[in-house]
Amino acid sequence: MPKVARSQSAESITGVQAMQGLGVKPPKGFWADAWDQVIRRPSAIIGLTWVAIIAFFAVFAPLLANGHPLITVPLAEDGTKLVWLVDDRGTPYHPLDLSAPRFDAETNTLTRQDGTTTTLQERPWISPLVRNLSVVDVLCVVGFFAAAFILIVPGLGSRGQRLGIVIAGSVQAAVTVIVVSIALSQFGASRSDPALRPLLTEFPWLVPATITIGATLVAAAFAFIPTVRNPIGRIAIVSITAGIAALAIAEFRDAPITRFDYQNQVLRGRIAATYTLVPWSQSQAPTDRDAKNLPPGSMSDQPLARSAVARLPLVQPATPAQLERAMNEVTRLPLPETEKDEIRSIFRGFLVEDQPVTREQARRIISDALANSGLPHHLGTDGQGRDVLSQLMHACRLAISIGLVSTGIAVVIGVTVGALMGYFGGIVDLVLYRIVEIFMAIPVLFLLILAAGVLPRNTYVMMAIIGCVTWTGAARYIRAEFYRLRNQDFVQSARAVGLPLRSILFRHMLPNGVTPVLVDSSFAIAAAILFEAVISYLGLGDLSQASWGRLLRDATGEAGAFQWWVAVYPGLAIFLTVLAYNLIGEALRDAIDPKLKKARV
Amino acid sequence: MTTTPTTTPKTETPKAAKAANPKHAKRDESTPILRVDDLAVSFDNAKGPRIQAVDGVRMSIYPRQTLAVVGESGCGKSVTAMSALRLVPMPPGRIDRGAIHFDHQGEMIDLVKIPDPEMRKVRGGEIAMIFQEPMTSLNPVYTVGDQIVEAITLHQNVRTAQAYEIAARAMTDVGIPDPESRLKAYPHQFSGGMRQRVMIAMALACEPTLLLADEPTTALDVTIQAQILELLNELQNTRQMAIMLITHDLGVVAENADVVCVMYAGRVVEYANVFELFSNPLHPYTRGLFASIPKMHGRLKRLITISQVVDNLDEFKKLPGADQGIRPWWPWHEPPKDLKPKPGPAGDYYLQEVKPDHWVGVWRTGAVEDHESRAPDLQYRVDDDPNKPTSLKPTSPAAG
Repeated sequence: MPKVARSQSAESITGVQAMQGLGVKPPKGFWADAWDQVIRRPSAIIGLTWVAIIAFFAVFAPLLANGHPLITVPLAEDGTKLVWLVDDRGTPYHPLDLSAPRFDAETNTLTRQDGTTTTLQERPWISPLVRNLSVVDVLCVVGFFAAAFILIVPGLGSRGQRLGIVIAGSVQAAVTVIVVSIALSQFGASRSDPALRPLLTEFPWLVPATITIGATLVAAAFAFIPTVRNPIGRIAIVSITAGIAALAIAEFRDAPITRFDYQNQVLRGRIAATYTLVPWSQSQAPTDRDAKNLPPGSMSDQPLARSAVARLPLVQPATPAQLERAMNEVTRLPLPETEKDEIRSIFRGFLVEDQPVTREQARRIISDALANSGLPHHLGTDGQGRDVLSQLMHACRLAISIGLVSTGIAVVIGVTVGALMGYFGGIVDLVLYRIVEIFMAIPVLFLLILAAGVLPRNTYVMMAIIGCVTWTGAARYIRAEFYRLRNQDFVQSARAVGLPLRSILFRHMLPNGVTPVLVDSSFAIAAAILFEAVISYLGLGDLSQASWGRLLRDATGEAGAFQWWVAVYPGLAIFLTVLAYNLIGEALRDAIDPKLKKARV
Repeated sequence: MTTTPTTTPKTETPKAAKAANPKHAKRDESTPILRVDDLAVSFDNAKGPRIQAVDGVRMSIYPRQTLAVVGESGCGKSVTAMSALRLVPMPPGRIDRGAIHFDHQGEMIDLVKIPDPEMRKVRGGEIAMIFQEPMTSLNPVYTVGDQIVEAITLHQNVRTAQAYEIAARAMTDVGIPDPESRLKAYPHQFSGGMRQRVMIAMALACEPTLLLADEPTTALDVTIQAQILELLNELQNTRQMAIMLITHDLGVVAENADVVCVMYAGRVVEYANVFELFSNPLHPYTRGLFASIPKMHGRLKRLITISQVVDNLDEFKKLPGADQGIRPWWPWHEPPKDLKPKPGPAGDYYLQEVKPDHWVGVWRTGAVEDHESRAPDLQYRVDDDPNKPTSLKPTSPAAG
């Protein structure tokens, strides 16, 4: 039959035209249709928007909130810009630090303490932020742009295929990261077992080799998944793994020592630093006692002002002797001489005017004088002086990953077990369902508390435990669906065509029965986030990792004081995230549930 | 209706023959493609003894032949066909005994015994099956193209692009216009008849040697029914394919079958070529079946029911050889006095060739005590019959 040009403008077509193929709408797949049903609901849009915001911060938090400046430029005494001198290992030197006996300014040659010489390269600026990004940070950002590229650029296959590539890639990257970080935490130089340390010093290639072998095994496992048939997919898998392993090895070889002394250097006028949106890292805690529990909107120069007036009495006006002593203390402040002179002149003003001044009044005046040199804590600091906003942003990654990874593990286990139970029935069902019942009886929260005492306190361990215990819901849903599906004609027909069991179970039956699991898993993600928050609130979480639950715990200080800003913002974040996943789950259920669908039509 | 053996040189090397068409090359039309021997299938019953769905069934199908299996619901038609593909759910199902011999590229294999990987090659590749309900036989989440292509790539060593070409050709063969765009459509975009065509296209895409059609037209309206059956017939003749047509529609049987196998309660009660069976039904049940068809002529206050025929004991004495004590098997009657059952299940039953090429299920009485059971083999094809009758008129038995 000749193909007839498809009509775009006709308002109505006759049956004959329809038979000729006029006005035929392109077919819409099951998933595309389901997605349209979901996205039509306002609650789903709200939920997805919030999750997208969280996901955005999960990827970009290290770039948006970082105590390392984005750009630093060395400054001369008079404030003119100089250039960094960088050696062959990438260590930057401030030009003023280099002097004649060791440094030859003519040839830019530096003699190190061990006698070796190196030629220094000139750099107008360097970026401590980029140099201090971790493997996972880089991976998230690179992966985000790669995923965006795959999803947006046409010509890489259908929407479903591209989505599949992105999901497979991220799963693989996540598994590789977990494997590599476990390897690093076992063998990393500073963390390794004392018994292993001589071995590691003798064979420095041992750790890179271990990581590479682990990563290769992961790559091989993924490359042999039958769904990845095309060679491009396999190449992509192996290259992702290789990239991650290389990055991990690079990090292992020169792990940077994190020192946040940029602000002092800026105050001394040694460097000019440009910070990103939030100039604090999640774990950046000033040693200054006065930086703790600052309310929202505080500036970081308040600690300077506070320490300048620290010797003044709290309530009574200061005596001249006390003012004199405080003036002498100013010498110790990390400030350029001009600023110190200014503070001294303020103290001198108090002495000369001979008016009674309290500690708080003096602090405010000095703080105003220093106003331009400090950095803001937009949402205040917690009990250890860490920036709340930065921690909120960095905790997004934990919130996203704990939900997705633990639910991902649960869904994989649950779907496999449920599929076997539902498809085979009989004795298989009987035995596996007993296992399901055993797991249903395990209280997750208490298991997590127990694990925090016995196993390493690691978010991966937490994810694995939540995933390995909460799969029973998915298993039971899939079992029920497969019971219904296994006698359906299309499953019989798939068997009659001679398809292997794998294809029947996971290609033909699963998409028809997975929808209740999708709904369930979106609630499970919310539950996993709550589990993590509870565990961190109890102080049993990973202490090196910012977490909303840990912030909530920090809201009550040592003396029982309650800092509302440390409680409200993370509380709101937990609430909104859990609400968002629940809204998505509700929308999915409404969109997919066939009974409700009939009622709607 | 020319057949290929005349065009295929007999001296060609096996390799060349394989390359040309491994399944159809050197197909000997005088050996059965499928022979079911004493098949017994039972199902687990939670409360009570196992249910014997099929017991002692024997039949055979030759290439290019259509064997119609008729009988009422639950008589074991579908279970027999499903057993051939080992699609009977196990548990609760179980093949108790018997063999299903299948001509697998010139060598007879027993489908009951071969290992699973080999069975999967037979499924779809050698034996295809079409189901009764076209509305639910296709997976709603994939395009029909994806489903056909998956079957093709599974059984034939072709790339996906080639598989799409084969699928498009199969769609054209079954009369679906504009196959390229229809391959990208989802099952819900097809009507029932079109879906059944898709099912047939999927079944035929791998060029099976035997097609099991389990009530392929029951769910379709009459015009579509006729088209689908016409299509099956046409494809059968172009591909030397054998068809097992499971139906309970005697009109469909008359139109399409070469050989008819009538089943009741899991056993074969009558087996003959279609003209013989329609003109001379020997088992009272078969006669009851024909009698219950409403007639356009004559006046009847009530339609004749099967039980009116089979409850009449005189009907059971009309069988050739009745004078020697051969009685048609019928589970609702007392067995004859001189029953000499063989030990084992279904020992009281015997498929007797009461006249040449006409089998009837009879009690194993003294007259047939030492007869060896064997599968009926009837190499009859309506198209090859030079003196086939022009019309089929089932004879009306004298009913009470």
